[in-house]
Amino acid sequence: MDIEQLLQEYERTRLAHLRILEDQKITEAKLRKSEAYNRLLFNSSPIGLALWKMDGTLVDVNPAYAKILGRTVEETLKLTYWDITPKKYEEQEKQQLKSLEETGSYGPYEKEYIHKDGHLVPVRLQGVIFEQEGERFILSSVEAITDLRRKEDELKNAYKKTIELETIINRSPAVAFLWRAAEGWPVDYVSENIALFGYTPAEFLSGTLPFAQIIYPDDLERVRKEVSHYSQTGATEFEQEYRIVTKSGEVRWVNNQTFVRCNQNNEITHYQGIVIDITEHKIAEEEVKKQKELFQKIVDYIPLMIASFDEKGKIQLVNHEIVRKLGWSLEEWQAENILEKCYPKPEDFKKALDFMINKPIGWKELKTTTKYGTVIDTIWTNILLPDGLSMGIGQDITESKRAEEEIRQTNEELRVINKIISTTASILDTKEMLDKVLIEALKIVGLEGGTVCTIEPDNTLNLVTQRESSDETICELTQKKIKVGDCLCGNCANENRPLILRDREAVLQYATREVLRGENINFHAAFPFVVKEKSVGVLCVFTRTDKKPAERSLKLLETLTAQVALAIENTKLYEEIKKHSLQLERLVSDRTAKLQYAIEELEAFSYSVSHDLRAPLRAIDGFSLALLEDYSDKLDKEGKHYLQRVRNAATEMALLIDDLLNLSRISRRELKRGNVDLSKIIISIKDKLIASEPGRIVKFTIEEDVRVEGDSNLLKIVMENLFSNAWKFTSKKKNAKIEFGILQKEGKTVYYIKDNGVGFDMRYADKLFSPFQRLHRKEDYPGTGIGLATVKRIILKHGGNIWAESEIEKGTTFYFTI
Amino acid sequence: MEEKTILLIEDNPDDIELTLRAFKKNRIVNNVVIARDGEEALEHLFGSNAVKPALVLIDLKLPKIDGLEVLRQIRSNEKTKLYPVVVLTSSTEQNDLKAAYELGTNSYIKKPVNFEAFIEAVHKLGVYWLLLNEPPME
Repeated sequence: MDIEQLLQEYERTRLAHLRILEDQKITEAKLRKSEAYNRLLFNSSPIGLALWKMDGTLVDVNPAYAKILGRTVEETLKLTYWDITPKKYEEQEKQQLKSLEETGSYGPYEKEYIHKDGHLVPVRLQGVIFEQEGERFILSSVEAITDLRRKEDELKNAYKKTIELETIINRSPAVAFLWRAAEGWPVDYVSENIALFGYTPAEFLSGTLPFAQIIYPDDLERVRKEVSHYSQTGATEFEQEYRIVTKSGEVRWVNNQTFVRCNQNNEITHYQGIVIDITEHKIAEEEVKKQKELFQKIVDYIPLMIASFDEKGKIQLVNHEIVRKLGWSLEEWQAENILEKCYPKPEDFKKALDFMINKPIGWKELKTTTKYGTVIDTIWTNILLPDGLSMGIGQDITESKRAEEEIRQTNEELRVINKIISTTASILDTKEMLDKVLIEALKIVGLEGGTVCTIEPDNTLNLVTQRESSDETICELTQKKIKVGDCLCGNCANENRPLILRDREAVLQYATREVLRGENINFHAAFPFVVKEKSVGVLCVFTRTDKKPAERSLKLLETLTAQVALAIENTKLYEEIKKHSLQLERLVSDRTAKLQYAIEELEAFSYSVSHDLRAPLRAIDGFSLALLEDYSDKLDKEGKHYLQRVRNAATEMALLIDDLLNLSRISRRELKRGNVDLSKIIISIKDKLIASEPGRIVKFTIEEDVRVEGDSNLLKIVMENLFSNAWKFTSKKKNAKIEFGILQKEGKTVYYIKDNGVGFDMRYADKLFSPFQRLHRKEDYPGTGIGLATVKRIILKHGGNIWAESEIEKGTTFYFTI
Repeated sequence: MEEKTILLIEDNPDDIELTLRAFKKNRIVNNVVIARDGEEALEHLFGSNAVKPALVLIDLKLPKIDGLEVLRQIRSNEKTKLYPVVVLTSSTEQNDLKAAYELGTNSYIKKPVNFEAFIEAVHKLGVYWLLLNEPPME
């Protein structure tokens, strides 16, 4: 039994109960006024009453009792208890009597009486024992359990339930009311749980607080109208929702289920109802409503196609977006199988339906046909909803597909251009490059014919390469010096923009020359190679077929030719550079040859010098000596002196030759770098110098373990020269000092050889390292004047530098770096 | 010493005369055969009247066939390969020195300009090659 039925049952019982209570009240009040109250009560009781003596003799019975036995009162009074009690109850009766003795009452319990006509009448009885004037009597009240018995039982049960329900109700949020059908709806009954609204039942029952007073003023009029409407239309029950004000002033929404109660004359006397606080529910309902509206709005306005459909794929609902995108209204969707129209191919329809029914995870791309016959790219997914429905969510991806395709195509085109440019860029021959460009251009547009011409300085076209040109055209272009503008490509070159002739008519309009008119060209597109705002050539593509290249590929050619123009420019520049560099190369090799020759000459010269220049000197010296030896008697002293001078000069010259040879040899010699112990070299030079003139006292100070990277032999020459110079120029000093050391200057290691010799005038310092330059007279300090030139050459060869500081009579310091 | 022939290969007449004077000064009285160019030298070495010199003095710079080529032929011929050969020249070029030694010269002497020094050199040369040095037996 659900709560609804329970409540109805409860209501019915309750009504009965209340009715009884009310009736009793009235009757009692009346009867109390009567003196014959007891008798009347006894006689008019619908319940059988009997007064017994303790021995079972009947003292008095009322008509109701007699009626149960099918007799009159008089007849009944002649009977004893045992006369009307069947044998089978004797034992039970004795027990009851025993109970009566002990407790003063019995029952209620059930048994049967023997009816006047002999059948057994089931009865329920109970009794009390009382004393009157010293004698004990039993008063039994008896009810016949006839056809009504069941009903009564039910009533009784219901009553029990009523009590239970009352408890339930008092604990439940449903407040039970009984209103009188009077102004303001005074309350005759209200359940305890009115406390939920802060009131007590007493406040209402006392009559001071009619129900209307707790109805929210704004709703009161409506409630009134509704009640009166229902009442007039004869409704037995109705339902309302309105607000009431709680004791604390709070406004709450309630649901009120009202049953109309009428009296026998069918006049409404009472309203009975259940008032339930539905504020929370109402709030929740409002919330749900709001959410529902929001959801609906979202579903309607979201730029996604949303449809709900059942297990079989039948569409239940579609949102605005679907209607907008696909064209069919919701009514159409529901009336026809639109899905079949969306996917006209049976295999597509099957795929779509499969997807809707099986709902694999993920998205599926489908080409969907709209009501207008267009096909759009869509992507769909399915969601299973709790109530067996599914929701399909789809998106129109036509645009993004198109954009994607656009990007893909652009990329592809860029790739093609890039490929062409990169392959042509490596071709530095213009003709070869342009031929390659033409091949690629024809591939792009998918046509068979094409030409590439360059524009000569006299503004004529020069055919570089062609495909499928007629012999006449080739002949014209190569031999007749066609002026720019006298050709299909002419204006394009003049205006520096492509000229596309899309049909034969357009071609003929531009085909001024007879040859062109006979060419049967149906499509011709010319693209200029523009360099620095000037066309330097033209690429043409054409066809004699009916093919028409895609606009896109023509655009691509435009881009390509712009790039190729740059390549042409580059090629031209390259050719110029190549020409220049060839010239330069020739010049260089020319000079190199000359230089080589000069070097060879020099070498031959050096060789000759070393070889042939010395021979005469030897002869001069040798024969001079022969003269001195063999003819000394024929020569006077002066003659001998002159011959000696001849010999000295010859020796001098031999020395010069040797030094010069050394110098030139050093210049030509390759450096052999290695680790050189300068200190060690210097010490051996020092020892040699001391040995050459043992009488001299010179103080040497030599820094130890000075090592450099360089050519050991050459550095030895340097040291020999510098130290023999120092030795030579200190020869006239008493406390001669020669020092070798290193110092750091500007982060570089500087080596120095310092003497306290005669020194020189710094004004001549720049002459110091030139060959044959002497700063001292030969008689004072002998030498060829080549030593320091040799030193400088060696130092420079090592990538170093050498310079000197000197002061006359104080000494000289040579510094060098390596 | 008399039997030992010296082959002097020298083109410069001055040098020839001075060399001979130097021999005389040093009392070297050996027979001296003079070749004035490379071709003549080869004739003296390999020709029909070939000499068997005890010492070959050779200048490098010679007309027709140069000294190094003559040296090469001497060293590559079975008959002449053991001849003592001294390069007597004005050149002090390292290339010449190296080439001469590579081709198997026994000695390399630079002719000094100073004649006294030249005489001294010839003296030493004569003493060494004609007196001290023991050539292999034929």
